[in-house]
Amino acid sequence: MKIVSYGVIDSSETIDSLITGTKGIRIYNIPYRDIGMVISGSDRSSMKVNNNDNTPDYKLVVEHLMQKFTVLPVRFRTPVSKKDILSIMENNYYDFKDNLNRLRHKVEFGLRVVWKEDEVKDWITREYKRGAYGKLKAYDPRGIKFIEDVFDKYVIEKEFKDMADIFISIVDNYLGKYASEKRFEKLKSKNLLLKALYLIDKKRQKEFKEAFDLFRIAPGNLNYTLRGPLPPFNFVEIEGMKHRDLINKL
Amino acid sequence: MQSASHGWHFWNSVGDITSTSDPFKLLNMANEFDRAGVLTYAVELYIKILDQYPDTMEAVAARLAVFLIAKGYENEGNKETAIALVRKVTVISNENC
Repeated sequence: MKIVSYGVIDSSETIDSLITGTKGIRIYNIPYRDIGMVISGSDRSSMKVNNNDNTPDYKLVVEHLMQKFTVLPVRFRTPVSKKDILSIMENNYYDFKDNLNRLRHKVEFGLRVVWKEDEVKDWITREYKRGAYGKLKAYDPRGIKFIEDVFDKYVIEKEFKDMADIFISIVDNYLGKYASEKRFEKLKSKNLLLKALYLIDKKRQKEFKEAFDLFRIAPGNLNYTLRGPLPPFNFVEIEGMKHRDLINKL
Repeated sequence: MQSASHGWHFWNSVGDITSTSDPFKLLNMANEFDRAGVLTYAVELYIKILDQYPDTMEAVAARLAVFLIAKGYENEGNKETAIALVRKVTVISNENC
């Protein structure tokens, strides 16, 4: 029989329940001091957490747990044995406790801001060609064109990144005030200006969503999407985790 | 980079030794004020961008920032300031059309 972990919760109370909406997943809590690791046993050979087919089930279980407990939604790449779980709990108890305290009553929201990269670059290039920016000019014409071109590209690229920073700052200035923590990834792929994660207190999530709704009618030709509320997958920080490579965020 | 005496000269239209455009400098300053919560100064600079550099990317950013500041005023119950701000931006936009 394989055991699959769904996360660590701030309770050591006994859990033995069947999760509705899943394909017969029954969860149990393995207590360690005042916390516990929620697991399920399955004799289905297909029960692998990395199997995308099980992702909806995984989410349902975590969401079910979140209704009653604070959850550190870690999961294990491979099913583990009961003995391993107990040693992980023992070795990382204080890290788990710190995270549970930090993430208590919090949910995660994911924000994506998309802009038209080519359009922005064209705009900046146009300005640059008009002489709005500093230009490097050489007195000596030999082989200088190449250097000028390199410099032109550098200035345009720099301006593009600076412009991205300003847009991100404007957006975050409005949304960031609702968050207790945030994480940003900027310009990770073409047209993706910002991928932000906000950790929001459950009591403020309505306010945060309302604030986000404003962006739907905001000027600027940017496209905004918000995901959430989600379990705080991306805010779990287990520094001392010996088995960190086993932990994988959803 | 070599100095001018070595054959390089670095210039822009206003003679600054910089690679940043004027509207961007204004935008950057406005954003600093915005983040610091000094909204009066921030708005003044954003409006200046909209007025003087309407067809730039900086104006796009300024328009978004002013819109959010106006909404912030409205949320705080300061509707008159919010309306005045939106009106000002509309007037500038119409003048530049």
